[in-house]
Amino acid sequence: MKLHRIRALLRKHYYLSTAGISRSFDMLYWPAFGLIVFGLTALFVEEQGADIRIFLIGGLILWVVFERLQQDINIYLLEDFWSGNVANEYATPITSTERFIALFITALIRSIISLGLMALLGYTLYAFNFFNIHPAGILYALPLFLTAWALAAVVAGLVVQHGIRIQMIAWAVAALVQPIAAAFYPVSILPNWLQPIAYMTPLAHTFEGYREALAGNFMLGQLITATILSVLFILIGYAYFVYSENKGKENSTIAEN
Amino acid sequence: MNALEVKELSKNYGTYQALDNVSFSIKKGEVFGLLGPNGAGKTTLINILIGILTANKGEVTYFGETLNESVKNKINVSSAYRSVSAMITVEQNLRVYADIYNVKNPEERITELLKRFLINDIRKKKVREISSGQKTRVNLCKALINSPEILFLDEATAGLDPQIAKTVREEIKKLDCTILFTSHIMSEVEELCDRIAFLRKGKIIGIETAEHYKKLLHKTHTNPTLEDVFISIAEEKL
Repeated sequence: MKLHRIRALLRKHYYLSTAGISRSFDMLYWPAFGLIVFGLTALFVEEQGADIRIFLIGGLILWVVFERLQQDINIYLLEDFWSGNVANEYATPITSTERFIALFITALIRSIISLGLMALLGYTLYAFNFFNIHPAGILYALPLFLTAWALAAVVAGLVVQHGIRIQMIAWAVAALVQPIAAAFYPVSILPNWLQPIAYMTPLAHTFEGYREALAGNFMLGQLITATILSVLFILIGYAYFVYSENKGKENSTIAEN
Repeated sequence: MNALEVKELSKNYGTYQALDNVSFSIKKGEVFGLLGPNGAGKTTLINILIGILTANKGEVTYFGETLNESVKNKINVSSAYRSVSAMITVEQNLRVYADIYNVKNPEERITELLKRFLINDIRKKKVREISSGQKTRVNLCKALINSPEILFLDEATAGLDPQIAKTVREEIKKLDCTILFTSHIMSEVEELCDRIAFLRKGKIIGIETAEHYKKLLHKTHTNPTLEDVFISIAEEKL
């Protein structure tokens, strides 16, 4: 692994990020839009008697960070497909690991910017302090980021293996896992048969643990479970990504793009 | 030692045989032409040689080594079928590739290449805003950014007007590297290539000089050209 090649990819991502308004738009507009809609919903429900800001606003901020991270990783890869630059870049000495790391770093920086904006809006509009949690609660960011990275790796792998025709999956995949992520409600609200499945993912542990941290409780066991599961997910995601690159080289998907 | 050695290379897509037991070698510093009708397997072969397509069988060595990170640092490619990133500028694209290959003094190298290919004036333009001929030259700059020891040019002059194509050919002649060159412009192939391999239906039909090929048609043609040879091979008359 060579740092200069990761730097090269980061430079490309930076250029793409600053090349037009669309890249800033999806980092800032959609998070703000989502927060406003859900925030208003939360206020309405709260008027009915229950304080569910923690569930809705806190959950939404965390969810958008997760979704942004996954989508950004995939969209920066798709940019190369759209430009016809995939084959050019795969002909260079850049390795799978270097590509994987550079995509994650770019997406992570953009997600942190989105998080900052949403935390600010949440506090300004709804007096919701995202960071007013048990200090150790911030550690839930780790499994959240790793899981987004793992999911993005699987999507990236699918695109590299099967080509741009399945690109829509990059936008849809987060919504597919949302029901079992327990981002906006506790796992206990899910049907009994679905609850064990939800607990097999790091997301349910992460969102439940974060909500506990917002209430001032830190559950170490839940954090450890979420982290172990997310590490397992990232290993599987990375292995699949590498496998897909090899398949993409066999079936000509990479060469044709 | 040969710069490139290809041994019994085969590639199939299901039942379709794109390459069938292709073997050849290219000497260091040689400009080696690869000709053949559409679908003959030229691009498939180049894709395998640059490491973006896996062969089903065979072996390729570059200066005696199989394709690895070190070899990839010494090769590069320019193809009419590919582009660099469309959303960023010409200069930014070249800077990214300069970083990938850890080029020393990247700004100087980029300016030198842009001037050589007469596109220094578009360096600040986004690639999606430039013409196809300019994109072709940007691809060539990208391909030369690391001063490759082996350069793969897959119809790399396609879409250029005659004046620019002449300039590009002059630049290619000045290069101090081994080149594998494909083109559908026969005069260009004849002008640049030391030897020419003809591919048909995934098989190598012959590897000779342009003069040798033309002599094969002396009985049937008056002053045969390389284009006559190409047509005869495509029509399976040779």
